[in-house]
Amino acid sequence: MTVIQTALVFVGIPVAVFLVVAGMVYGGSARAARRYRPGRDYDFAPVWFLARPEEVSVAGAADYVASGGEGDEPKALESGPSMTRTGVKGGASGNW
Amino acid sequence: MATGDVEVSEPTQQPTKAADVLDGPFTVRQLLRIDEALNAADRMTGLTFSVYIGPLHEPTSGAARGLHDKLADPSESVLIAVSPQQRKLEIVTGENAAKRIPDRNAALAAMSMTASFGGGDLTRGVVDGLRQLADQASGSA
Repeated sequence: MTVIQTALVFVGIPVAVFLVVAGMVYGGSARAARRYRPGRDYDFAPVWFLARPEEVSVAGAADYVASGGEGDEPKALESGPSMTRTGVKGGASGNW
Repeated sequence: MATGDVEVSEPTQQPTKAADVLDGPFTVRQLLRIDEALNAADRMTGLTFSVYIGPLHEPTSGAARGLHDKLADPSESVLIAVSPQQRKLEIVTGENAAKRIPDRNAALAAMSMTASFGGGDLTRGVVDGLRQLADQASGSA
């Protein structure tokens, strides 16, 4: 083998392998970064999932959704008829 | 819409573009799992389940109830509201739904959901919570 061939085999191949692995590591992180991690900021748009979206009326729902804007004081909920429109509600709360 | 059954809760927005939802923290596969769980829960129980993921005004329980009121038939509906930023979870059951899902069982579901959320797995928390609530409501748990 000439010097050049030797260099290609013993330097070129390891460098190529290193680049492939590095590409796989950093290429994948762009997608993985767009997920929720506890304790980190969550700044995705709000979503509301329904099995049958046509059955929901979301008019006015924005009143209850805190806007993501900073320095934007969340307005207090008025306790009006809209709060008691549907009578007794049950449920549970949690935090983590 | 690519996923068909996903709605962004911005009332002023034009019909949701799939890209809006795909910009969120979920992959297509995760969105499909949530959709499947929602459909299964609705079918099993006849109630309307919905899942809101996003910020809520303080107090969050009042905000979640307000969102629940916006559903077409609140009495027969169950809303799961998750605010990852505030690390808060609210489950709201309507009047008739609450008869089938007692608050104690809702609290159990909430506990298992927050365990998943604490591990950073929103999808699994939502899917497991839906399954637990649906099992309870259909009397098989």
